[in-house]
This record gives sequence, structure tokens and C-alpha cells, in this order.
Amino acid sequence: MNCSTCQPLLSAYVDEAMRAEESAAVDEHLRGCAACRVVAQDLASIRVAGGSLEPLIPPAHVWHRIAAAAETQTRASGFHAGWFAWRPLAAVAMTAVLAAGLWRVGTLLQPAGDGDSTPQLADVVPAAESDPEAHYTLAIARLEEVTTADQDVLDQETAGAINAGLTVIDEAITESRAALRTEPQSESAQESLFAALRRKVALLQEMLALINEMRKGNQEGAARILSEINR
Amino acid sequence: MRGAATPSSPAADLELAQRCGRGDPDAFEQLYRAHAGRLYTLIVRMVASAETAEDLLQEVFLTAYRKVGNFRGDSSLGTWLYRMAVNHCLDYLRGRQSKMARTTDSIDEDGMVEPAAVAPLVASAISRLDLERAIERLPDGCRTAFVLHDVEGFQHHEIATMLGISEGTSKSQVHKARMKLRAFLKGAMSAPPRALSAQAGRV
Repeated sequence: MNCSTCQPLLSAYVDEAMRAEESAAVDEHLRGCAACRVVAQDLASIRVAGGSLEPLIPPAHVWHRIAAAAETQTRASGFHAGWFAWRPLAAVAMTAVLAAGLWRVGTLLQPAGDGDSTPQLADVVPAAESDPEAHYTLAIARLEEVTTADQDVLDQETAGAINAGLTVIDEAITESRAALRTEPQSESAQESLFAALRRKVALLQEMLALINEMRKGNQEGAARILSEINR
Repeated sequence: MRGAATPSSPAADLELAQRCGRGDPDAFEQLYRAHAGRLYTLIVRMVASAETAEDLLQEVFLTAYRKVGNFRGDSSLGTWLYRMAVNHCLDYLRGRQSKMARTTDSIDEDGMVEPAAVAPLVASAISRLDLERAIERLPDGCRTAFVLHDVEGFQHHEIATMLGISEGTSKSQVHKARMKLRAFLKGAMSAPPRALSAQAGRV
């Protein structure tokens, strides 16, 4: 046996998946050939390293995409109309925020007609570019302050649906933060976190807009926003 | 066989499948939480792209969602989903291969040089990141065989059935993959470390 006949057999050799006499022939060649010995060791090491690769974790946003798509699929097929009833909220909120651009937070915070009483978000929130997470977190805190105080103008069902949507987003935020703790350099975990924070900002914006319309007694406007949230 | 499902009782599988089939959202989420990690891990390595893997994982679960009502418990839910994931990967790879004329494979083949480093590789010293990256560089055919055999722990006869190839082809593809990985890894050891950004998606 020479090197060129030996090398193609080395994977089967390290897997111990060859007949005894073949294996003995390889053994004999290896005793006298340092180069093929190194190849055999390399192949064995690669096999072991391959077998000890760690499991990967899908980014948190994948589940939200799947849940939203499952809901769409369900609706298209006409079954289980109440399925995932609250989940599209997150999807709608995300679309809304992508379409509208994030930085409308400040203007949306200002209720139409009487802007004097509401603080301007731009005054208290750090710029998105310099510290996105702090930007979203503060935006959320400000929005929550206003929406929590006035939530009672919404009927129970609407408030419940929105809060359920918020709970889902909060879970995604927690999940992404946990992933980031495990692997702080992970860009995808970072992206998932920002995406979830953006969704929360967007949903709170919708909620605030709805509250404003209700307080103004503008049933038509409220219905329009509500149908948009529920779409 | 490490590719097999996480242990779950047939009765529990059947009940979960039926709940999913009835449109119970909590059951569907439970199905996802139980199996998504293992399937995602497989898919990322089979198709060599975290981004594509997200799309394929979604396809697998949406297909499962449509079909889970027909699940009769002939295998475990895990195995049922796993097979579906393998098939989605193969469909994707076939589609991709027919789209791009197979140029990379032949270049790779001929451009292969004997590794310069003389010292043998030591399994524990091979960095996870280097190995993942090297696997991504493999041609589709030998990558799938390698992932199923060395990473997922299937036997050649099982891989032959899954991929629709002969057992001999499975063996030679795994060997080809290991030889290429050896060249990549020995090259990687003498090359300067690359940016960590390539790890995006590996959470």
C-alpha cells in the first residue's frame, strides 16, 4: 500500500468501519509513513470536533414571524377564526413602525389639538443613533406613563387585546436580553432586541392615538385606529 | 443516533399533534419551543446560512401546522419534523444548484493544496467558530453528508436513504468533506484571525 491508495481509506479507518485485513494493511502503511499518520489524526480530530459542535438557538423574532404567518394561514383557510387573535397586533405594529419611521414618537406623543400638557419626547429621550436601547427604553417609559394613566377610557376588550400584544412583545424583549447575556457580541440577538423594542414603541403609539380619539369623543377616528390595530 | 428526537412519549406527541390540529395556539407554540432549536441547528449547517435557515424553519413549521392533524404517531413528532426539515433543506439546495452553474465546486477541487502545517489537528484545539465557518465553505453535496454523519450522528445507510444516494457515495462524500475541512482548518490556523461579525446569527 502506498500513500495514494491509503489516503482514500483513512475516513473508514478512523471510523473503524473497514474489514480487519484492510485495516491491518492501513496499520502497516501508517507505521512507516508519518505523513499519512498526520492525515489520519487530522480526520479523527475533525470527526470528534464535528460531533461536539454546540446547538444553535433560533433568534427570538423567528417565532413571532411564524405565529403571525400561521394566523394568516388560518384566516386564509377559513378555520379557527379566533386563532392567535392578539398576535397580529405585533405584526401590525411592526409594519406601522417601519412605514412611519421611528422618530415620529415625539410628534405622536403630542395629542392632536392640545399639545401643551404633554411633554415633548425629544426633550427627554437620548438620540437613537448614539444609544438606541436607551432611546427606546425611555420612549417606552414615557409612553407607558401616559397610556397607563388613561387606559380606562378604552373598553375592556380593546385594552385586554392590546395588553396581550404587549405581553408577547415583553416576552420577546426578555428572550433577546437573555440571549445577549449569553452572547453579548451576537448581532442577531441585538437586532431582535431592537426589533422588539420598536414593536413595543409602535404598539404603545397606536394605543395612545386611540386613547386620544376616545377622549375627544371622536368615535369615527377611534374606530379607524382600532380597525387598523385589529387588521 | 443523535439526530433522533428528544425523548417524548408517543401518547404525549399524539395529544400535542391533535391540539395543534384543532388550532390551539399554545400547543403550536409548545411544538415550536420543543423542536425549533434542534431543527434550526440542523438547517443552518445544511444550507450554510443563518438567514436562509430562518426562512426554512418558518416553512417547516408552517407545513407542520397544516399537516400535523394527519400525524398518526408512526414515528415521534421530533422525527416527523426532522425528516420534513431535511427535505426542505434538500429542496432548497437543489433549487439553488440548478440556478447557479456549478462553478465553485470545481474551482475548490482543483485549487486544493496540501496543508502546509505538519503538526496534527487536535480536536479540542479546533475552534468552534473556525469549524462552523469551514463547514459553510464546503460544496453542498459533501457538506450535507458531513453534517448528517459527523455532526448529527447518522449512519451511512440512513444518510443514503435520506439523500437518495448510495451508501458508498455517502462514505466518499464524508471523506471528501473531512479532507477539505482539514485543508481549510490548517489554512485557518496560519491565517490571521478574522472579524467576529461572521458569527452573526449564532446566538
